[in-house]
Amino acid sequence: MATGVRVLFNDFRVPLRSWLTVNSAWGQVTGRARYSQYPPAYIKPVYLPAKLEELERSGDAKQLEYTPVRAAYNTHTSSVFHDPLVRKFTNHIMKTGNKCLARELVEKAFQEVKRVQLQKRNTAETEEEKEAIVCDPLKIFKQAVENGRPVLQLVPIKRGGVKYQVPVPITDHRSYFISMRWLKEAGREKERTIHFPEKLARELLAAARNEGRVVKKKQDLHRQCEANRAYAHYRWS
Amino acid sequence: MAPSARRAVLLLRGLAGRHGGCGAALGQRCVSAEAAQAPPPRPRAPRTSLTSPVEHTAEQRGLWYTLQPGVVQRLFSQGGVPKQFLTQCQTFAETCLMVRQPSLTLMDFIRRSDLSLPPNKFLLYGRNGCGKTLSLTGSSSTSPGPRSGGGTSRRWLPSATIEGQYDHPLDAVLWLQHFKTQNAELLKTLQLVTQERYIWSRREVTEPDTPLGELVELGIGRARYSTDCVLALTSELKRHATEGRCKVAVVVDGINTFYSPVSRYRCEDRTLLDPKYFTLFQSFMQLFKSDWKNGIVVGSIDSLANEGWRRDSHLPRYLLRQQGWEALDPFIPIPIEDYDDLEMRSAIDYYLDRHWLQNPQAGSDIGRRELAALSAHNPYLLMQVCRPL
Repeated sequence: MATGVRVLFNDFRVPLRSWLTVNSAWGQVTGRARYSQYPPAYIKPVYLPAKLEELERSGDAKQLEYTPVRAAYNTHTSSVFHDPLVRKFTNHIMKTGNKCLARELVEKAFQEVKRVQLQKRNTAETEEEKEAIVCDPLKIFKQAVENGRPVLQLVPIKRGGVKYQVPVPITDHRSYFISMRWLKEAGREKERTIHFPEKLARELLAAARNEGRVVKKKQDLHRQCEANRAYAHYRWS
Repeated sequence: MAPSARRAVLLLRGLAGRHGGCGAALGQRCVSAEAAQAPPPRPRAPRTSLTSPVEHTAEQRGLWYTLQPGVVQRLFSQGGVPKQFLTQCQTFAETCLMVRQPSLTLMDFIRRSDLSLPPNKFLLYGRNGCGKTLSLTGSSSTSPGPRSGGGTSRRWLPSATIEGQYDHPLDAVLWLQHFKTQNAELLKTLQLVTQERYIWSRREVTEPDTPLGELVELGIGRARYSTDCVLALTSELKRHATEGRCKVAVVVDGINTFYSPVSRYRCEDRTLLDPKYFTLFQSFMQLFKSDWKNGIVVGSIDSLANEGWRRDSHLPRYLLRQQGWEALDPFIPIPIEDYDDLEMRSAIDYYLDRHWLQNPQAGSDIGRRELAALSAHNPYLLMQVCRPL
């Protein structure tokens, strides 16, 4: 446990039952995934302009000059409006590879968030009140994801023929995944007449205020973990 | 206890900060990218205080003018503008339009028109989303007169009065209401009266010298006769204009609808109905003829007003077809282009001013260039691209 956190769950990028080591400093997968078409010497492409500049400024780019680089995905864009977390969330929402639709849904939800907040801003009376209202959908989205992240999870562990729900700490990577999954599920729980982006926007705004289904789910999970604290030692014994 | 477990417990008690310790994979990466460049200050929208399009000159090109709430209420309360534009105006808490070259050209042409001659026909055309409808809206906010919206709907009935014709009672009522709200004051001041005797049924008759307002009221109250009322009203207006009692501006969005050989309706034998049998179409199409004077016709040629299989080009000859081209000849085409650099800059400034663009990079030079490239300088696409930012 000294060098990093071992991940038990199945990461969607690698085949089943593979054990990976997550480097704690960078959050990158350093272990070699099976069936990769690239030899281990190949590094991942750096596609964000800000990050490239940083590499050049710090001189790290010099070291990477002759390192072979993997091909970039077609979702790796150097757009100034690109955000990795939003891209990941879009992929969660996507069904059967229909990225076009997924992107549209996320964009509509962001638009809805902006409309709601701007409406509030327009009706606010004083200048300070207006300035206090956050209208940036990206900030609200990040706050919502942040507020929905759990710190513990329940893992079934078999001891003496009985499966116990054992509370174990969660990695940052997985907590992001679970938070976004909850957000997506909250958006899909709705009446037939309400559209997904609309509901998602409401959930995002609620979660950013530390309310709503996502935050409730997180608190429920934490409560369950607290209740099962007696099983915590099954994690290692 | 392992360090990660201890951290989890501390977090549960709210003692540890989230961002310290083992690095967050996704969240931190974006934060560092964001902090790299400080956001530029939010610019003010370039505005002009001249709210009437009549006063605009080339100096005001690319500036934004505000429509007064009264004008907005009078013109838009019954529809006639895109719904997306209305939503946008609601969000921005104001109704603003940009002064663009086609509107300036149009106003200039209208000013120089000789009204003692048959009406000039100005037809706006351009690619999808380059602002045809909103250019029409901008110019119609000053020109009084009837305004007809083209388009078809599903409610229709065989005509009660003319054999072989078809009526749209509900659409006609809506149009008459629209006409009433737009021209209520003009109808009062101009004191126009009917010149013919209209017999609707054995008991309902409109005598000559009845105010036109009453004719409109009759059409709204009795949906059965509304289509024929529209026909009567347009004929009356044409005659009044020719005799010099009023000036008439006819503003039509999607004028090519009127020259489509098929409608959406099917006859009993399942064949598509020819729109020439629609009384409503006939009553509007007589305004596009050159047999009257003291008026103008302003229309837009829109590929979206055509059937789905005939939208390949945005050029007038293709969209109007032989029939429309001959019926409207001679007309003055006014092309509408996408935004140029000045207008693009102005539009982004306006969005920033209204807080619609929230992304810190949107106002920066590289952000502007990216928005211009993504939207291809097209106003509608720019609106779409700015949605999530």
